[in-house]
This record gives sequence, structure tokens and C-alpha cells, in this order.
Amino acid sequence: MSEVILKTTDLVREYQMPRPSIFSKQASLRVLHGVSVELAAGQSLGIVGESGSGKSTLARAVMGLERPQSGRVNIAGNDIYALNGADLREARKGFQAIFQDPYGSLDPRHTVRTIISEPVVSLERGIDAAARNRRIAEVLEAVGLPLASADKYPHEFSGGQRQRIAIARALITRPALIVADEPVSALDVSIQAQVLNLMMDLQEKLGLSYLFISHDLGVVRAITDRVAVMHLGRIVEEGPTGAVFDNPRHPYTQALVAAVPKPFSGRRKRVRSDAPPQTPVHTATTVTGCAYAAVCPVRQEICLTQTPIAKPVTPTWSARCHFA
Amino acid sequence: MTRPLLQLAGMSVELSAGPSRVDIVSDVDLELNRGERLGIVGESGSGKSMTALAVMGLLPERMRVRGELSFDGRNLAGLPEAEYCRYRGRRVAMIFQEPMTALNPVKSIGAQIAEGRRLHLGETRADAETKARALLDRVGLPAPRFDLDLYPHQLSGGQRQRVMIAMAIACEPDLLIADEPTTALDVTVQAQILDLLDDLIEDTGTALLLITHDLGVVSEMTDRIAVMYAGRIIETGRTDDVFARMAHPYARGLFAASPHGAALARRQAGEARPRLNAIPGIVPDPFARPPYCSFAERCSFAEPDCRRAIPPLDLINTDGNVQHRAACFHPRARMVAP
Repeated sequence: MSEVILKTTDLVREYQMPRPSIFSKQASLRVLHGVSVELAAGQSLGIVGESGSGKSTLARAVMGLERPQSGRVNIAGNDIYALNGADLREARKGFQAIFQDPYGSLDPRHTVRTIISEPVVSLERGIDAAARNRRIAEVLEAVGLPLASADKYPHEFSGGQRQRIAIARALITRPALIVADEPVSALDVSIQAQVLNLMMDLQEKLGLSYLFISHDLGVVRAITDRVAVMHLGRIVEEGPTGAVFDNPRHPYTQALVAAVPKPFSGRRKRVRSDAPPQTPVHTATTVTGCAYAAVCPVRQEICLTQTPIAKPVTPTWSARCHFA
Repeated sequence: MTRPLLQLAGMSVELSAGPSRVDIVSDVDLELNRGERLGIVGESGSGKSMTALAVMGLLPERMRVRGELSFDGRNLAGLPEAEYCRYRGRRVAMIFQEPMTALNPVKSIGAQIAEGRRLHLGETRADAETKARALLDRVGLPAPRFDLDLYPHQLSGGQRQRVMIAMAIACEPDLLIADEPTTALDVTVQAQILDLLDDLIEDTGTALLLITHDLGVVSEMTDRIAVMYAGRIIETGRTDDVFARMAHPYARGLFAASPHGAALARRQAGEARPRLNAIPGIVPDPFARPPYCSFAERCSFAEPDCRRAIPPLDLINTDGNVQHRAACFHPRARMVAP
């Protein structure tokens, strides 16, 4: 197996809740309950889950933007939260991000040239203007934008082209790892396919690794090798993308896959239930039992008393369920 | 035979920007009967939301409807605002995409649901609130957890969308327009909301006009669909028939580009990752739509005659009494699915 580019170990991230009064005890909300993922170089790992499952918090923790309360993030062998300023600056060249909103993530008052060269300007201080321009030309060509775009402003581009600019900005420091948080969710289907194809081309050409975060199972299936399904801050199932989606082992993954409307399936078959739909919520800290037990259709006594551990289904596939 | 509930015939939505005029929606023909479900599919800029807003009489100031837009036998195009108010909310109601922005943040949900009944039906506050309570129960927000005096910020996205639905059905409208009702929601919540809509339509017999870009949602929810591109309907027919054939290259391309389509293709181990079938190019600017097939520039089957005239919406098949039409000079014949 090739080397590991990203490895997180037992990431825990809590947010402090506002106190109702200054005398009340400080409460906190645990959003990541010990998340461990591994991504091999040149591969892509998808993180799927619903809103509030902690997938974006995981992305922010991996990007070094939110220090976890405990746990480590190793990128290319460096524990990024243990590095000092100068070393972190050096390490940051190796990992870059693409964000969801191609309208909000590009400064409207800057030219594309300024936007794209910002990572180089701040992370590689010594580089001269000529070399910088060469790099800009290089990445613009890589994402399929004409060189003349460098002197335009973001509003002159369509959503798909803006996302290409965001990709160019991520590529300019020649990173090995790209963290993409919902990079195509804001795009139309036909444009989404163009951007996904571009990301796959770049991955093969430059040997990139992607940590690809999305709520869209179809998109994740198209671009990732492995997938981790998150539910309330825990990874409940992880394995090869195709296998997990074709034959999910965790009841939550099963519910997620079943809920996606599919063309050709004819009119929906409804499960009429009079019970109000329940949504499990984050808990302050670790509770005993399985977090999904409240709504799980196959719940047993053991689910309420024992926290399930990740059980291997195959050597590369595991599910955090007593009955997987 | 009774008249259709909603009939659009040669309807266009015209935008005037300074001296120039441009059609955002051109020449749309649609019919919708009571109890029927019609889906409109398209990407952003296709005119699907503008068609819905035209029916609701909520078009922006600078836009105007041309052609026929009749509801229950009465032409609504150019109706004065005061009279439109008697339809809107009472006979035609709409569910918007963003439950966060479509609800009033400073009014309780009870007051917002009761508003329509007090205004349109002249009910007293007490009666309207009793009804609002019943509506909240109906949409799956039971007392006492979901009280009438909650405010939108106290609810989750799915719960807010349920409140929107309760508001829309409050006056028992004949036509319910849902513009991307589940796009902002998670898939499991989306499934709950679609189940709820399904139930309500079955119970009340209201007609549904569902606007969406999601081919999965439209396939599971509707009887008939219309696919729009660059302001025109380019293919319409029974949902199953359209999905089975996808005669217009754009309809076919849209499906192939979606991850649904990609999922159908199996990936061989060790092989390079298969690419999605992206449609090259972008949607033409509404101010510069060509005087011929607006998809010709992106179409891989385009022939010289495609660049001469705008293709009419031609009949290609009839199933039962529903016509399958496509606006293409060279409709695809091979079925994409059984």
C-alpha cells in the first residue's frame, strides 16, 4: 500500500455553549467524537453525512483552522497542531482547500490574478514576480481557463468558472492534499459534471489526494475510492465507496442510501407512519449506547447500554454497529 | 370534458431592461388538471421558476406576461393586483425553496399559518388558530412540542419546511406550486417531506406543480413532466415515457451528466475512474439566445438544419391520451431504459 498522506487520530472537537447565567456551569457540545480517518496518497476519501454530522468541522480541523480538544492530525508525516509558525507555513503548501460557495469564497474586489497568487504570496515569500506569473499561467491552463482571465474580476465568470478559479488557487502551491468541502453543491448538474471531471483529471495528472466532503451520495460515488459515513460526530461506516453504497451494513447508511430519490424507480413507495419523525441531536459528551439507537429500526437492548465499536466487515470495510 | 385547471398557451415572460426587451420564458404551453402532478425540470436560468412566479402573479416589476395564462377558465395575465390577491394563497399556493428566508422571522408560526384563513375566509382569530393547530398536526408537528407561538428560528430546516407546507395548504388551494421544496434539506428529511406532500395531495386532491432540478425527485413524485432549457419546454410527456426515451439531446445529456447516470455504469477494478458525461459549454445568456435551437451549440448531434430555425415542440408518441413531445429536429429514437 502506498504511503498515507492524511491520518487523523481520535479527533475530538467541542464547542462551548452560551451560559444561561454567569453562575451556571459551562456546557459544551461535542461535535466530533474521536474521529479517525486515513487517506492514502493519490486516493480520494469521501465524507458523507447530513447537516450537523460534523463533516465540515472535520474538514476545518484537517485544514488547521480549528484546533481539536484532543487527537492529532497528521499530514504527510507532520502533526500540524504541533508545528510552530514557520514550519506550519511550510507544511501548508502541501494542503489546500476548495470551498462550497463559488460566489462567497472569491473576493469580488480582487482580480483573478491576485486571488490565485495569494497562497504563493503568503506561503512562499521568496518567490519573484516572473516565477509567480509562470505559476499562474500554469494553474490557469491546468483548470482550463484562458490566460486572459487573470486580469478579470470574479463577477465576470459563471459559477462553474469561479469554481475553476477556486481550484486554480488551491493548486498553485503544488499541494499533495486538497480538502474539498461541498465543491460542486452550488452548481447545476451539467456544470457539476464538468468540474468533477476536471478534478478527476487533475488527480490523475498531479497525483493529488482528495478529502471530499459532500452530502450528495451520487457525487461521492463518482469521485471517491473510499467513503466514510458520519453520523453525529462519529464515523459509523467506512469502506470502498461502491461496496458501501451497494450493500450498506450500518442501519444509518442504509437509511441514507434508501432516502435518495432515484430516476426509473417509478412513484415513491411510502412508509406511512403516524409517529412524529425524530431527529437525534448532538450530546454534550459521550453517552453510553449507540447514538443512532433512538431511531434505528433494528434496535435491541444492547444498543442502549453498550457503545458499538467499529467491526470489520472485510479488511478494508468496517461498520460501527453491533449487528453489522 | 371540463376545462383544465391551469392552462398556459403560448405564454412568454418578457423582461424589459432599458430599451431592450427579452423573453425570459418563451412560448410555453402547459395544461394541468385537478389532482394531477406535473413536474418542471431544468437548470438555473431555464425559466422554470419564472414560469411558477408568473402563475402566482409574483413576477418582478420589470417582467410582464404575454399570451394566455388561465386558471379555472379565467385569464390571469395582466389581472390587477387587488384581484390577484383573491387567488394567491386561496386558490393557488406556493411552497418556496428556502424555508429560512420565506418565513417571517418576527411572527409566530401560528399567526403565519392562520393569516391566510383570516384574510381569505374571514375567520376569527380563534377559529383560524384552531385550524392552524390542526394543520400543524397534519404536517407532523404535534402539540405540545410544536406550539403555535414558536418562532421560525426555534425550528430546524425540515420543520420550517413543514410549516411552509401548512401555510400553503391552509386555505385548501386547488393548485399547489412547490419550487424546489426539498433542495435545501438533507436526504432523509427530504424523504419525509416528499412523503408528506404525497399524502396531502392524495387526501385533498389538489393539483401539484413541482419545480425541481433533481431527476430523482421528479421521477418519484409526478405523472407528467416538462423539461425546460433556455426558457422553452424542450420535452414533455408522461414521466415514465420521457425517462425511458429522453428524445431531446439535452434531456439525455442532463441525465447522463448527473451522478445517477454515472452510477449505472459499472467501474472495473484497476481501470481509470470513469468520467461523467458533462455537457460542454454553458447555458446561453437570455439576452443573446440564438434564433435557432438554443441547445445546438452544446449538442453533439447538431446538424446544419439545427442552426436554421427554432424547432417546434413536435409530437413524437402518444401514450394513453398523453402526448410525448420534443422540440428537436432529430429526436433520439433509441430507448435509454426499459
